[in-house]
Amino acid sequence: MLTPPTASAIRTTNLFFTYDTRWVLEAVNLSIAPQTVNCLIGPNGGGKTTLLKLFLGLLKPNIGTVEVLGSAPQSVRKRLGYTPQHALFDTLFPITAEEVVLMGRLGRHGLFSRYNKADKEAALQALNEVGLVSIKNQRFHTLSGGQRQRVLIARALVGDPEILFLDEPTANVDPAVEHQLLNTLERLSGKMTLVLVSHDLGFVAPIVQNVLCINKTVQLHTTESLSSSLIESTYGHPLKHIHHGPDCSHR
Amino acid sequence: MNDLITLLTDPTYRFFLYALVGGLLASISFGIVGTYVVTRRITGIAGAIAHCVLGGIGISLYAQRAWGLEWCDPVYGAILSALIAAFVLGIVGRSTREREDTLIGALWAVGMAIGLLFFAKTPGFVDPMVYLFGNILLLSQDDLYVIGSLDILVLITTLCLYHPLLAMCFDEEEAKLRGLPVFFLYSVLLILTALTIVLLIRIVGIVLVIALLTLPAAIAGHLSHRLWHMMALAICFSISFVGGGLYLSYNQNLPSGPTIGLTAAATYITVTCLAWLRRRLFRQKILPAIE
Repeated sequence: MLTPPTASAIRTTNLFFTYDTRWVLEAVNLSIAPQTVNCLIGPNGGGKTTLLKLFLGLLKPNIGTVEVLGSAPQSVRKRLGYTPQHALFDTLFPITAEEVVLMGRLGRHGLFSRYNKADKEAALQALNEVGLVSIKNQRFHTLSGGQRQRVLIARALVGDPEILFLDEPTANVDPAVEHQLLNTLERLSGKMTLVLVSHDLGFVAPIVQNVLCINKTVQLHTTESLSSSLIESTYGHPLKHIHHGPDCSHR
Repeated sequence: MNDLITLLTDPTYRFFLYALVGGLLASISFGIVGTYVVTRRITGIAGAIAHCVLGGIGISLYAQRAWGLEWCDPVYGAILSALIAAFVLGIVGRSTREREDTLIGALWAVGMAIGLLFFAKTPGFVDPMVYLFGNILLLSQDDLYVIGSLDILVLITTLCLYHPLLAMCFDEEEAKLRGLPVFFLYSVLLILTALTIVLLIRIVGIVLVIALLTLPAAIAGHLSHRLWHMMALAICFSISFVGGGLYLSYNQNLPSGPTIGLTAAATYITVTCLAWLRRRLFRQKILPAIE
């Protein structure tokens, strides 16, 4: 990678965060190594998305610090890629897949300029990376859930990020698409640091090196050391409840 | 048809020509700003801004007549109150934890109430109906220049900021992450919306301005793949609603504002129903045929 290797891609020191009067995150100390694949798991309301937004600098910690690529997140935003959940978007918005991807190149040449040839080539290349060049002129919302999610991944890739954040990449997509996504992520895993939020550890297990169990506090584990009792202490339920329980409260 | 041509060329009916040209010019701003209002989902904010304008008009009319401040034209009061409403809703609304729709409801009522109170205390007779429902037939040549200038402002802003505004409307978080000045872009959008509402109120009035701002864009949204397609189509729809509504109102001797508004609403309902029917038909007939 272009930057000199820092000890960690992301580091937080004694981080506390609250939206109002209740701590969402407490005393979080963690360090994520560069070029690793990391998965954030934990119950709803446990602070996963909040932590992701703190990494991206969209939120600021009340106490403590977040360091991304050795600096404050806001100052390195252009080196980060973010893939939100596709289901959050307005279903009537008139925009093509290519236009969504090009959005990832905004902010490079000043506010009033248009996309240049290099931007358009980068967009095509990113679409190629996720295998969707053929649908570039289709309206974003006529695509299937999995295609939309991959378009959003392409948008994050088009800026050549050093860290790629993915929020619930498999929410609302079927198993066949999960498999495609996994392939895409596996190809990316050697090139950049991946941080993904998932309810579904099973999906990413083959490629994940570190699991961050988040429930107010954060525990970092390598996949080898991860035991069901550790997950149980994060969720407060046995693991099988998370995946198969008929009365599972996390789904 | 022949009497329509006589109407447009006859100098004694100059007001009808002004109404038509004014309507066509206004359609440009309606189409473009309306597209942003619909896609950014700020119809509620636009409605509250429109109704707050009545407060500004009431205060400036009162100042003019009760205090003799001749320079205090209602249009200044209207612009000022629209910008204040946009500021409160856009800037304060985003930074407090208050629910946005509650704030919209409150401002909506406050604006109307202030306007009506000042109307009541203003010496001489004031007819709120003129402001509430507008009258396109009262447009003067000066009004056409004002509407034309608004069009130029809207067109230049859109041409310069097309991609950043598109990103801000589609995905504000991503726009922020790419380092775009999201707050500035949102303010630009709110200011354009406020100005469009104020200057176009005289065409269909406070109550119906939202119909012409949102309905053409909403219809166009069903038929477009790209934002600028949607703008272009919305302009065309707006032109046909104003033109068609005006013709109907002349032909049937109906008030122009409500006729234009209802023409737009009827088209919107028809297009929405057709889109729904098409989806249903596809699901019932075509999907099983493939399986």
